Amino acid sequence: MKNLSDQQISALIDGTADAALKAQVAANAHLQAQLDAAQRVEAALHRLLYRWDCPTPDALGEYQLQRLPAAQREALARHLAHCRRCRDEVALLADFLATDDAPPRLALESPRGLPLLPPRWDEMVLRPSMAPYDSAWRGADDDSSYVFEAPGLTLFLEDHHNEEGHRIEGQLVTEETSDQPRWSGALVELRQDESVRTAPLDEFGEFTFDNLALSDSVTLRITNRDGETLVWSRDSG
Amino acid sequence: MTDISALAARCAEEQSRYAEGINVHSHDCFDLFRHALQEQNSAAFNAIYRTYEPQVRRWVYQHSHYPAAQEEADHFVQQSLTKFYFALRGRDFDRFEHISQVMQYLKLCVHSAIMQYWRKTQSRRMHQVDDESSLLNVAVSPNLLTPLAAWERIATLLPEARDQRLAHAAFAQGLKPSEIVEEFPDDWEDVQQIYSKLYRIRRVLRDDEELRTILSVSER
Ligand SMILES: [Zn+2]
Repeated sequence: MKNLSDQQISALIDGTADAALKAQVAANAHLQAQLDAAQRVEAALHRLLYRWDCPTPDALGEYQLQRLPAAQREALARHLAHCRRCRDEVALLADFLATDDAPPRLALESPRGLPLLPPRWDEMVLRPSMAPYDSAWRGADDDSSYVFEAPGLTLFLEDHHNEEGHRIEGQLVTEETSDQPRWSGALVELRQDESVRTAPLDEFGEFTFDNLALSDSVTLRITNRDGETLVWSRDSG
Repeated sequence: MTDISALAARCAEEQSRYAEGINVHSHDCFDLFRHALQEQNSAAFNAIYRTYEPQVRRWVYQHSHYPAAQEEADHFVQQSLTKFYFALRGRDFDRFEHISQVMQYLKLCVHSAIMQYWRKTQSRRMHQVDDESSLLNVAVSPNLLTPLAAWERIATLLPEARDQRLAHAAFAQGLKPSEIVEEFPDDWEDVQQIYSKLYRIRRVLRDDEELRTILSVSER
C-alpha cells in the first residue's frame, strides 16, 4: 500500500480500523506519518472546538434556577435544543439539586483514594522568590517577611507576632498595572488543618488576617472573579 | 449595629441542627448571608465560609462527577464558595426570600465548580492522541487559537447545514457516531452513513491551508 485512503485514515482515527490495517501502518513509516498528520489536525480541532460555544456551567445553572433575564434565557434554550452535552449537564444538575441535602451523620471522608492529577490547571503555584528574612514561620517573636512569585504576580507576606497571635499582612502586586483590577476584590482563603479564614483583597491588592494561631500545615489560596487561583502551601514545620 | 459574631454563632447552631436533619426556620442564617453578600461585610462572609464549608464538602462528595474528577475535595470546596461569593456579592441577593433558596444556589455553585473542571478533563482526554510525540509538532500560537475563527472557516468549507451539524456534533460536542444518530435522526439513518460522511469532512478540513493555519498545525 502506497498511501492510506481517506476512509482508512478516518477509521484509524475513530478506532474502527481492523487489526491488519493497524499492523500495516505500524510497520510502515510513511503510512504512520500520514496518519500522524491527520491526527494532529483531529487533535487540534477537538482542542480548539470542544464545548467552544457552550454556556458556562454557571449560566446553565442560572437557567435551571430560572434566574436568567428573558433574552439570555431564550438564547440558552436555543443552544440546548442542539447541544446534547449541555442538556445532559442540566439534567445532572436537576438530579443533584433534588438529592437529599443532608443525610444525618454522613461521613466527611473522601469516598475514594485516587491519585491527584498533576498539574492542576486552574491554579498557579506561588513559589518563594527569596529566602525569608527570618526562617521561622511560627513560634517566633520576631516578624518575618516572605516574597512569592507566580507568572506576572508577586505576593508579599508579612507575619507579625504578638501575644494575641499572628497577624498576616499580604499584598499581591501584578507586573502589569492593567492586570491589577483583575485581582481587586479577589477572595483570600487561609486554611490550616481544620480551620479556615477568608478575607477580601482590597483595591491595593492588600489583605490581613488577625489573631491567628499558625500551625504546621498552611494553605493560602487567592481566587479572582475569573476563577484564577494562586496557591501556596506549607506542609512541614 | 448588628453583632456579627453573635449572629454567626446562632447561625452555626442552626446549621449544625440542619446537618443532623432537623429543619429550622430561624432567620439568623439568612441574615448572616445578607450581611455577607448584600452589605459585603467580610467578617460575616468569613463566618459563612466556616459554617457552610462542611455542608459544601458533603455536596462535593455527593456529586456524581466528583469521583471521576480525580481532584481534591478541598479544591472544589474552595472553588464553590468563591463562585458563590462572586456571583452574589453586592447584587442579586434581594431576589432571595428564604434560606432554602440561598442554599440551593450554593449547591448549584458546587455543581458548577465540578462541571467546569470536568469539561476541562474531557477536552484534554479527547485531544490526546496515541502517539504523544506527534503533539510536539503542534506549534501553539495563542493569538491564533480562536475557536470562532476556526468555526467560521469550517462553516465556509462545509456549506450544507447538515454537514455543519455533523461537524459540531463531532468536534464541539465530542459525540460518538451512535450518539449522533440518536441526536439527529432526521439527518442520519445509521452510523455507517456518518462514518462515510465524516471521512469526507475530515479530508476537506485537513486539506484546507487556512484552517490548518488557524489550528496552528503544520502539514507534516
Ligand atoms: Zn452546549
